[in-house]
Amino acid sequence: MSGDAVLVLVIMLATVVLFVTEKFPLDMVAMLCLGALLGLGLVTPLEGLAGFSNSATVTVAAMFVLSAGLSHTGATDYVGRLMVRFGRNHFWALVTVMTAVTLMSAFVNNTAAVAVFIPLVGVLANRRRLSSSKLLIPLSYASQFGGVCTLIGTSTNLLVNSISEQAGYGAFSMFEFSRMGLILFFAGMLYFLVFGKWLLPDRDVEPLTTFHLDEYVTEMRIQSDSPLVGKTVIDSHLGDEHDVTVIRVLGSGDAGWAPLRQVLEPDNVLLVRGSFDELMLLRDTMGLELNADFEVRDEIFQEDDLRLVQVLIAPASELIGHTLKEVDFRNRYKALVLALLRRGESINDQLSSVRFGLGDEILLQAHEEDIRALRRSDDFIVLNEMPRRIGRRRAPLVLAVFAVVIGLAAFDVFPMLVAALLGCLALLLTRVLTMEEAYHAIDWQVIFVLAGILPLGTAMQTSGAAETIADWALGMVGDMGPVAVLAVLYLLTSVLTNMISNAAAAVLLAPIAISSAEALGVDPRSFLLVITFAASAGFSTPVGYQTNMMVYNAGGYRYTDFLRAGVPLSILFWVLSVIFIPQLWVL
Amino acid sequence: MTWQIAALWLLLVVMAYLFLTARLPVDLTAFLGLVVLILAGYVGPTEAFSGFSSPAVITMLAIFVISASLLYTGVADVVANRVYALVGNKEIPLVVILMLVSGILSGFMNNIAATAVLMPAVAGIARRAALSPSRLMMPLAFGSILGGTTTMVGTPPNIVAATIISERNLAPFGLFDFTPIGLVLLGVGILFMITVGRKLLPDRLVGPAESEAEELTHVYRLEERLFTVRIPNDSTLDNLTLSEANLSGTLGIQVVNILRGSKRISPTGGTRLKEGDTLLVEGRLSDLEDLIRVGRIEIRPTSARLLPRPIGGFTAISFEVPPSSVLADTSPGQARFKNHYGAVIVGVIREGTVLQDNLAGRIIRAGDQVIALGPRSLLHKMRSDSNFWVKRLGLAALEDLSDNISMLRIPPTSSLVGSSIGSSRLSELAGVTIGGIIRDGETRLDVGADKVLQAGDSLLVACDASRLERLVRLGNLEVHSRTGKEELESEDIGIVEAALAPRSVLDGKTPSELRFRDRYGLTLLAVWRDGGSIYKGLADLTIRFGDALLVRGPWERIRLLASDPNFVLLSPAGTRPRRPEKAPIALGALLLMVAMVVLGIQPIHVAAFTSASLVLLFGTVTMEEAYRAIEWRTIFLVAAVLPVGFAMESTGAALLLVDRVGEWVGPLGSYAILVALVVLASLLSQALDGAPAVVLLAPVALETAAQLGMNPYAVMMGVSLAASAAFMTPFSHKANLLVMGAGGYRASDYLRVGTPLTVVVLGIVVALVPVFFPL
Repeated sequence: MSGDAVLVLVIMLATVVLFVTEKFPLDMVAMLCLGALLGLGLVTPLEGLAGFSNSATVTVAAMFVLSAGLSHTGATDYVGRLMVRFGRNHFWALVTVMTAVTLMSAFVNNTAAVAVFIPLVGVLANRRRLSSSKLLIPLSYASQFGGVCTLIGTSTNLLVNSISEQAGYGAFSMFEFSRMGLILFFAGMLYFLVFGKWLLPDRDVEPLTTFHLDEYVTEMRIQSDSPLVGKTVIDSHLGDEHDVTVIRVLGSGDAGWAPLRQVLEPDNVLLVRGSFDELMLLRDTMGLELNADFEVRDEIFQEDDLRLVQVLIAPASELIGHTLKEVDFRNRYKALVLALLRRGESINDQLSSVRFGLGDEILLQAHEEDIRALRRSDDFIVLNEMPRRIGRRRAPLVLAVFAVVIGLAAFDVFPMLVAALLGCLALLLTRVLTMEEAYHAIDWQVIFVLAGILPLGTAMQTSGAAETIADWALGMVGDMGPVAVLAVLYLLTSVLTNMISNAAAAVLLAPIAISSAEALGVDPRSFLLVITFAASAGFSTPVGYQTNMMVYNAGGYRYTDFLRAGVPLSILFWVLSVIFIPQLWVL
Repeated sequence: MTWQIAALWLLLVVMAYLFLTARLPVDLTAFLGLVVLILAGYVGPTEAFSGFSSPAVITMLAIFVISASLLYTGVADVVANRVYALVGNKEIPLVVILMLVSGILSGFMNNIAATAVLMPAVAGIARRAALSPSRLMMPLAFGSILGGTTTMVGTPPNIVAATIISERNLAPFGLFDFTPIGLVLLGVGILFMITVGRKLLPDRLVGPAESEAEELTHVYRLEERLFTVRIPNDSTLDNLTLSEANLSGTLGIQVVNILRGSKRISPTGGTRLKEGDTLLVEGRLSDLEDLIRVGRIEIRPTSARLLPRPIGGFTAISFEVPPSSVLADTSPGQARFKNHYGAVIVGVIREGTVLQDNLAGRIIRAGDQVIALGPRSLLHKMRSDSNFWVKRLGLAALEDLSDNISMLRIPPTSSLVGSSIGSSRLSELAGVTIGGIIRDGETRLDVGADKVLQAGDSLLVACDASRLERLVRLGNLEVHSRTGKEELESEDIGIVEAALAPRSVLDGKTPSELRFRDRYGLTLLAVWRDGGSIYKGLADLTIRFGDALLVRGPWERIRLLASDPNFVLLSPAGTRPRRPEKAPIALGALLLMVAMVVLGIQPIHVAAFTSASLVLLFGTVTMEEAYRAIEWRTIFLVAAVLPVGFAMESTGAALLLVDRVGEWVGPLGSYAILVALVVLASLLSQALDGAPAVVLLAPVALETAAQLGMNPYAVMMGVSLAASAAFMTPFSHKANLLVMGAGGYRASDYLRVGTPLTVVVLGIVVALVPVFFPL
């Protein structure tokens, strides 16, 4: 093994470790990896920067713009409404939800599709008295099924496509994946229809209990010697210094909700939210008396048009990475944050300095009209509410553009990239989207991860690192024939994809797959396909796929729920892929 | 000339036309051109996007990130503040220092960022020195544009020129090759601004002012629009919140401040009005007088049965909204109900209660019953439309509204007689829907805004009578026309001016869309645009980049605004760098990049990329801030235009042009060719950004140099410096646009000051380039 190969392997391992530990954002890790490759001269500057102009990178960017066009016109909501109408019992709900999201995510990126469907599933579950926890994991998984049904379904497909093209094995066609994708889709649906009862929990998400509000909300009476007397709520600095939120002041003339300028008087009763320790500290230092009989009930928070709502942090939310304090949440959204749920656990301590992440669920108290504003905002997915209806008149135009793009690519009139770009131009010229909206629609993190990680694949090939790994791996299983190698490759990809971003997993394994196939003398395309399918089968953990994160809190799931539902499905898909891929694409 | 070349020229002409007329966004034009090139087979799809990974684009990306790190760690602030401490209040030294500082900063930062970081300080200095901001803002922008030319990384045109040169396998430009000429340009620019420019710059200040607030109200001519209104003791406004009272919607006035006893309350939408409050309002007195006019109307409840037969084929309809209707979950206004169906909605019945306020904006839900008036033929059609479940057709449908129809009789003495429905602003003022007029014993439902009211008319309005009475009684508000200025600003309330930051998300939005007051806790008092201020209809005014906004509110909120990346606060108050402790890292990364390039260790794009990775790794900027700091438009423009230049060369189009031009200009010598290129570059860059202009001209310039044996460095430097000289319009450089509102300029100001400066700069470029790089 050459010195370069060793260096590449070291960088590869470091990258994987950084991805797994999540100490730095994904895109930064990708850029660091690129910086290291460039700095050590493992790729030429030209190769190193080629990731930015790679056809996968550009196509993915173009697909973001097309997807945005689709959601801006509300075409997606329409599908959702149909779904609510037809899902009349558990069986039909599951069938329609899974079919609809598979269909949509075959053409739109998976997180966008799931973001549209989460609130609709909530509405459907409410209306038909079903438990949404029975539907949300299938929703997340089905978006992954849909992703592998077409070339443009998910960015990994495009990535593997461009690797195959560059290695000289030709591009995949638009519907090359579809046969296998449909087999997996039907298998997945059958799996949930038959075993869903046992595999999925039946959990009602009751805001007050799920968020453990009873432990954090209480009433405190102001005693006459309290230092708070005569101060306004703002001046008391309860929020900044103690991380305690005054939800309401009772027993004073016009007690407002979330009062900031209310002057506190003796015998006022404060409805407060804060951690137990802080509240005890307040009791001792601020002359407050705890109401021992206090019991948290829904009605406490709901009056006139004030309501409790649960919202999820949306994929492209501006809040991700920021704290409540930084974004000035209360003033900005006119809503009071009562609790936050992350990965199934409620976070109540130091709430104002918690950094938001994708899929975090927050419990808000807000006025009806402000809730409407939340629904309009791209930062949140408001649960259990019909999404706003947007003017549907341009939807036919956008759908037509989509159809033409797919047609052009499917019949090989133009390469995928050119077709997607034409589609973008059509949307821009017809002013469905403005240039600014188009730039905004592109998820730069995804683009920079792709651009940063692609050269690692190149370096693995040019340095011989891929060959070394392939030789070593073939030494162990090569004798058992290509099908065994294929099985191992699938396993490797699906393990890696559950730990690191699936694009990264695909880029790392694709060169190895190509080298192995060449060594075995089989068509590398079938090996690359295996990687594509395995990379989009992140079922087993909540972090395995972004959509899993999104449904994690919305369904009130626990970590083990994903294991229970996902591991058998992963095994099923593994077996199916190993059986069918060699048949559909003769080795 | 082959057809290929001809087609390419045609494409170029069309693109140039679109660029110059700006019929499409320039970046969209560039992409269109790119796609045409791909479709016509001039470049392959892979080549077409190679622009994105070209050294030029990568270098620009990296420099944007590095300059963001200088911004966020406060390096730029420190430089600015140090120098200002040294100069006094005299205009000339101020302009000199200002342009020098902005020039030096922008030598290593992106020009727009350098301008933005200095704007708050400049606004403060102008105030301190009692100078009009218009005397300093344009020099600031021009200083940073000129300063950009002093290094290779200072401005995108230089970066592009340098990388194109190195792609030709020529030795690359050094980092400081541009410096001698750049410094001369900066020096001459300063000289120009303190001599000729000084005479040409507008002066918008009228007199000396004691405080910032006083000056601003004066400049914005707010004094004439501020008055106080007292809410009398039996007023119907008592206990309404501000958003319920909707004073801005009905009276066109904005509540700036509420005086209750000795307390001053900064209003928000949820603030409740109390009787006895004195409101400081901003608006037109005549609007209030209009309302008092309305006060003379007589109100009578009526019922559908009592109405005379309508004429003109108009009738009423009552329908239920099914869940799949276009009306469900949207407002009639949004669904453009009136345009599509020709009918006016006069009432909505939801769960037994009649809703009549603000019908156009109210969200209709499935299951609501809607009562509308309209032409009979159109209403008949609605019966077969699946969007509506029609219950009743005919005037009887109005009976569903039971007691909620009123007649407003207009007495002969009313001042409304003779004015049209539109100009009486009755429906806006009272928030009611006018359904028809009863005149001469006939009901006319075809009322448009231009219908003139006659004495004795009765207006048929759909409205809760008590609400109408309350509103009419608003007329007893006590209005005082003049107010003391001390009420405008106080210890905890301030007035400041703010400009939109580059890439602000507010660009193109209206304050009401943004829910400006709720979101920022500040009242928008006026917008300064194109040399004048706008007060009317602010809620629905589309805010544009280059506007200055006058806002008022608590200081704590103003400080929040200062840290909001969407604004540049034009006041030194409260601007604080985010991570001053990381300043050494930002500076170190910059020095590292300079060192790597100067010592020839790495080419510029690798050096810049490495430094950018470092500032990200050490957290001087977050990834998110970095994405924000990148001017994607410039990046995409350059990336999309690069293949066009590529195609010009590969087809021989560039060569052909060079031959032709050579025939005409050749005999005049290489000097004339340089002049021609410089003028061409300058013209192109007025419409397009400088960088893509260089990309487009580079093949021609280099081909010419090769043909005629000229020095390629000289032509490229001429082209790139000329492309930077974008002074003539506010749109030719984003730094110009940034200061437009803050300096109170009109487009013509740029033309007046910028044209002579452009001529001077181009002259120097033509004169000096051959000195440093003999032709």
